[in-house]
Amino acid sequence: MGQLERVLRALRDAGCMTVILNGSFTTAKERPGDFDLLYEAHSVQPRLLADWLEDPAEAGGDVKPMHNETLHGNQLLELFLTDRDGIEKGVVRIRLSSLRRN
Amino acid sequence: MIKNARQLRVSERKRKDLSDALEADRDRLAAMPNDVAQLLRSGAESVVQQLVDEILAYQELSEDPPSRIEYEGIGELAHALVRARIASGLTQAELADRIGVHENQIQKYESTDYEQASLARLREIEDAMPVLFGEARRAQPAPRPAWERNHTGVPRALESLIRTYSADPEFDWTGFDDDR
Repeated sequence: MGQLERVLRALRDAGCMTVILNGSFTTAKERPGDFDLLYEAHSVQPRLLADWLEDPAEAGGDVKPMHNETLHGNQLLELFLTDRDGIEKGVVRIRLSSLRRN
Repeated sequence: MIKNARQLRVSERKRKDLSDALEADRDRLAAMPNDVAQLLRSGAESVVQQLVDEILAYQELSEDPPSRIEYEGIGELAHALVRARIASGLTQAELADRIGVHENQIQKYESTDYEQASLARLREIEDAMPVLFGEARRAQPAPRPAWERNHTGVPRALESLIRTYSADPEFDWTGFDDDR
């Protein structure tokens, strides 16, 4: 879980308040692997975002921004909320204010 | 990874919907600070590109299948099995039929990266697929230099004979004892 927590802290430090988590952390697979993460970008200051967040190998998963007042942001959300067969699935929403302080 | 025709259709629709929405957001993005708009645009475009890459990979595999699917190490085995099925032109239902299980079982194997499949089942699946499937040849040790090969104590012309005899279980050894 260390890598995910590092991502969450980096996003919080850039002003992000909420993320939506997808991928094998939220499934019953025996070995949780990489994750997909959508972060709400309306409160984020891009200049404070760590560069490595864009690199899936370093971040441990795909980290993408979404703005819920845009059409494409809602499409990204729908993409997250349905599986490859187009069937709705559950995801996890995390409020970053709940993260422990360092 | 797209694993069947239904998933291909879903991915194509998602790609189109996301591209269209991004295009429709043009004015909305223009009204935002530049760095925010750039962040959102490049994030969405990279998702569109991921969808395009997956769609093309599936289409290439099913329309122009390779004659052999290779994988490097057990970690790649599950995806290679799916790729081999697609390259063999088999649906999940057809593969299930060939090994005598319900289609749901193959769907479950593939959606969980074959984590619960036994080795015996993996062999059944391999045998049921016409496309050759196997582990990529690992890097070979560097060949010995010529001067070393030539000084093994056995004349080079005889080395090939020795290999031929020892590799041939049918070789008739009758008469060799007589020479001892």
